[in-house]
Amino acid sequence: MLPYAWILLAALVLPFLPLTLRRTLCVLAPALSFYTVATLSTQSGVNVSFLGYDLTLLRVDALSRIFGLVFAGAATAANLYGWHRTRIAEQAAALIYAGGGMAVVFAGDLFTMLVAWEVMAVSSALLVFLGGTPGATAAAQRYLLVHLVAGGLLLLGIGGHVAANGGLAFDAIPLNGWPGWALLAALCLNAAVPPVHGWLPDAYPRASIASSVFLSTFTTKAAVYCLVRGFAGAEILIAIGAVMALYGVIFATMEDDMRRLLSYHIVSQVGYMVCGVGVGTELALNGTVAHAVCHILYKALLFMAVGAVIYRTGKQSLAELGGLYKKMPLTLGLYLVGALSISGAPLFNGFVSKSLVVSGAAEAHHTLPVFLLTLASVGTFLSVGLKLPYFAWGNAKPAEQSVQSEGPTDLTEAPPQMLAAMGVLALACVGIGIVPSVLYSLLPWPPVDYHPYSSYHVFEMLLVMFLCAVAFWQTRHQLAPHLGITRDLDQLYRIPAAWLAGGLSPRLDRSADILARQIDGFRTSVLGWVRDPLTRGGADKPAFEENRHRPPVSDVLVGILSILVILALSLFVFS
Amino acid sequence: MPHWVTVLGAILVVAAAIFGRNPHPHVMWESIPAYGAVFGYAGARALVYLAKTVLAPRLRGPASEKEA
Repeated sequence: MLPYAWILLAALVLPFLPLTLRRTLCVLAPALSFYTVATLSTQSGVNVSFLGYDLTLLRVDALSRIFGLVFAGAATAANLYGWHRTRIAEQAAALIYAGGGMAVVFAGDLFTMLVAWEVMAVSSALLVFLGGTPGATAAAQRYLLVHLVAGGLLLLGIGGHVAANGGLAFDAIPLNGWPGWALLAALCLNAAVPPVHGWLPDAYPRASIASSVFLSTFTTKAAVYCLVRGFAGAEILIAIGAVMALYGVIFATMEDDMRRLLSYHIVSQVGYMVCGVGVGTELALNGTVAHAVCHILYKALLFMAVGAVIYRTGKQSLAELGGLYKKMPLTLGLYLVGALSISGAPLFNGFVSKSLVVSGAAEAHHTLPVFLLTLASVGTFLSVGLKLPYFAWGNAKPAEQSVQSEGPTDLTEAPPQMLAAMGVLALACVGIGIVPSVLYSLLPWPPVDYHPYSSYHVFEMLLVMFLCAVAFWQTRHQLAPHLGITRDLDQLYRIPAAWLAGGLSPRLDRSADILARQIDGFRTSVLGWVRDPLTRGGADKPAFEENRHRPPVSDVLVGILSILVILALSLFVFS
Repeated sequence: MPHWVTVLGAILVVAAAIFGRNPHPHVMWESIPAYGAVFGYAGARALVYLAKTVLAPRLRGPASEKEA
């Protein structure tokens, strides 16, 4: 049985169930997938033949298994957290997204990986769209277009790779020609490598609070999985990852929107993983995988905690928050577990995974990347460990007054199911931090001969964090949040694109209008002919309702692009 | 800054200098006693300066996306 089939089947039957059953199924299906992955033996697989190609729908080895376990576990916790959701579309899209993510990591060939990837892209775009605000709709369109470009690059790379090598197997991909570079570019886009990272902090904060948890889990980590599988040891990734790690924390330090701040930290933390892939030694690759697992756990926990604050207060800018420690102390405690984990504090999971990557880079004598990664860990503690909790839960005056006077009067602790989901993830973060051998035994290149709790390493982190806290206290007035957006590199292509769209929009609208009229006229005459073959529907032909049948321009564009992608796919793979 | 923080910091730095030496340094600064203190303090101050003094005034946009 395919482990992700439980999740996809649940998404299919979801629309036919009452609300309570839907909620229960959303939690049970990924839990069942977790159990299935845990009981799968390595080297097992499922193969099918399709148009003369052997496709591997399931390849179980240590690498795919650990990603499958953490994906299924995170999806279970995220669905428990999102128990309050009522919309079928949101629940189903989240399940399909999780199922697509698992299908990517268990795919044994490039075609299956591509199909699963596109399922993931469309369902995640839907999750952003279902945020329900005008900003969410626009961000979802940008997100979808970016991922269609990434899908096109992926398709191009796979086509070229198959033409050059004659096989679809998803293993190490050589960087000796354009197909390899196209695949690497597609994966870098999905991993949110600057300067093409803008889609991530643009889209993730606009989804609903539960959807943000899902979004933080799958796309970038699936890209990391593919990089480990296909591009281990590609040296260009060392520099890319180190720059990413620092770039993310600099923008997070500037950011005042809680979920945008955490989104920039996804960019930063994925930078550690990309750097580890580039180093390519067993220690660094084990570190990359371990850090991906730990990152999924603590990042989901952090998004859950700030989501609980948004759920209760309706505000997500630090400028509008403050003094919540009396009202939401449990959420604060659970948030701090995630914050200490991401900061790499001893006894938390980030300590045992981040140091694997940094030590891997140090042992390979990559001095500058090690310097940048260490500096990035300072910035991580500064913004996630100190700035965010200080301005959201601490700093009682005057922000507390603003929340308590303008916000809901019955401001209370997060709902029990949210606390339960956060509690499970917090336990996992602390458990791995205290007993790292649990994680190390699952890593793909055993044995892991690394002992994080050396006196040197513990003192190093304690000193970094303590002196960082002193520096924060001295500069806290400089770090005080202000309402406003921060421009990022995505403005470089969003402003010209908006200008171009402004010029093309009227013409595209007219074209779409003409196309819609033609389609509707054709449909009406066909229906009329079927209903009344003698008069061919001419007698009672309904009047054309202009706005009823006119699709938005974006839908037309997306439809055309999708058709092009499918056509190109057919040409490349099956010609 | 409370006095106990200064005392705690001093104890931590001295303890790290004595017990926190890396026996097998791979990069040059790992052989410096208590180098984590320099990273933590100077790194944080540099990041705040870069983010809030250098970049934020140049990159700060309008109050909302709608106004942009």
